[in-house]
Amino acid sequence: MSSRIGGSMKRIHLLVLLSVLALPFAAASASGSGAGTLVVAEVFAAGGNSGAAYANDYVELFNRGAAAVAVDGWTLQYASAAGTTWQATALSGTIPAGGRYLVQLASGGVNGAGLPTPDATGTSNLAVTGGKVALVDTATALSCGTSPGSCSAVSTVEDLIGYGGAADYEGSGAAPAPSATTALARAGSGCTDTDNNASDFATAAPAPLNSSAPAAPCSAPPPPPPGTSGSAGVDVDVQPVLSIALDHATLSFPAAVPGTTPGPLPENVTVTSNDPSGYTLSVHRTAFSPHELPLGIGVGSGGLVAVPVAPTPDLLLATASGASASGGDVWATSVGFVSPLPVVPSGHYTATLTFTVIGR
Amino acid sequence: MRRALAALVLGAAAASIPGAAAGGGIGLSASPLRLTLTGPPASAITVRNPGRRPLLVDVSRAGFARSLRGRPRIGRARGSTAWLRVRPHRLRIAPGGKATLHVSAASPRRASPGDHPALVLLTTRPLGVRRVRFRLRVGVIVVLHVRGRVVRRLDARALRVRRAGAKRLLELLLVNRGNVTERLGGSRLRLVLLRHGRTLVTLRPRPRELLPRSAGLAEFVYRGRVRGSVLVRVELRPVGHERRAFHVHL
Repeated sequence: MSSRIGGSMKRIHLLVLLSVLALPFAAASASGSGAGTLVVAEVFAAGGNSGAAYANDYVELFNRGAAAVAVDGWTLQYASAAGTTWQATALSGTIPAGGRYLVQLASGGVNGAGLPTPDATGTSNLAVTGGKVALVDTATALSCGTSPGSCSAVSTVEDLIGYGGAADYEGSGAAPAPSATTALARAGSGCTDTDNNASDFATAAPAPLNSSAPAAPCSAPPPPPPGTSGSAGVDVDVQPVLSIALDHATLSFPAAVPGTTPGPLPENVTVTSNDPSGYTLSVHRTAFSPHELPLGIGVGSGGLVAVPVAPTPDLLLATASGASASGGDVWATSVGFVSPLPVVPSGHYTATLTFTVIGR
Repeated sequence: MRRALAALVLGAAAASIPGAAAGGGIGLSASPLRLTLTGPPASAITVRNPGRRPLLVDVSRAGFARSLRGRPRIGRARGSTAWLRVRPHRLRIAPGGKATLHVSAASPRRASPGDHPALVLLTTRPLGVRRVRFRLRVGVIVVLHVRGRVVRRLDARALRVRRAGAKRLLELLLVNRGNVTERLGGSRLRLVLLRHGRTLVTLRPRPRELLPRSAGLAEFVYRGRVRGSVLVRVELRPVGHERRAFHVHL
């Protein structure tokens, strides 16, 4: 009996000890470092300009992590494309996981609508043609920015975006320059961060969100089952692609005599596209050499149709209004002759068919 | 012809690798399939050979337009197409290999602001000499965006109804009088069908893009049962575009 009580007491002590040890860590995860989790999600630099959608420049921050991050004492800093003089805007408050934070900046005119209520306000006037925006976890102004990677090497820089003609940026290149009607938006609704400004950002219609926007956490991997000891993050950037392939490089019809029609030969045309707009597939050919012959093509069970000879516009073979099937769209065609061969001199006759695919 | 050609045979002979050519066939792949060049622009296109034969690929520029229904049209290389620079002009790619094509633009000072579409054509050299030979061609759409005043203006010119069985296809003729490409879809454009002042249905178009200084048809499908005369109001976003309404017979 006593040993059972003693055992229980030991377990209680152990629980208390674990709780005490865990407290600082819990507090840290609720308000501590935002390293890698707080990012610049959107930049609009034409506030107030002619044709601008909004009256002020703005920068939208996003917490892509799984815990809230306090930004008291942090600053959002801006420098011109080639400059090293940074203007700082003080931040305060806490950004929850999946939360947004809107920093309103200067206005270049009177055009455009007002922003949603900002969470912080500054006077930096962002250049449309190029500049650098840094999220810094101190109030100390940066002095970097003359070469690629110089600011990313500063330990207090949580995130950096160089756009347009910026001399410094993350990764292989700067993000594109925005315009009066477009902002720079981070891919994946703010969740994508490969430390490469060129691929992480694209221009898009401005859509400023402040801290009152519903939290939208980035999808997190499921918790590991009991007993596992670790996990590894995996990500991949899938690039847009358009591809065309044929089963054969050439076709050879059996020997034929004038007045007869050689039977058609099958040829599969495989088109692969992950573009949601789809594609068009068309064909044209050169004239036969040394004399013209009536070559045609059909798709599926359809009859043969004469293939136009360039520069006559292409014959449309197929259109798709969406991405292709996972293994590609296979268009089963037949290549043959639309009428009996004319009376032409004997010999080898050759021509070239060109299949063209273009995104819609 | 189009109906006959719609007999798509999916998956019957799908290659295991997307874009891969079966047997002794040929393949050509490009990524991305459209580019926008802005400011002092430079970009790259990755060209791959997923087939099992070496490829020699010729690179050329061409004009780009769309038909009324949005079908791509290859035009002569003139006007703004001349601003496009591509290097190299010829690629030799081993089976399974890839090459990088550098694309840049140098627009003259007098270039008008807005979008100037063009095409980069990647065309394989035919293989063999004594047969019916095949070439593959992939067109990458390149939009040269010249900075300056952006003008967005869409005019709705006419509306007609085509019968397609129980459905009605409403075709709205639009003219893009602006200087940037307009993407039709989402909330950008919609038709509101009204009878006696009451809204019957709101229709959104099939997605497509309308190049600057061009005309095109936006297609809307009506699957309802209402027949007879209705008023169709054209709504364009953002507000400020000209509002039009048409009387049509469903």
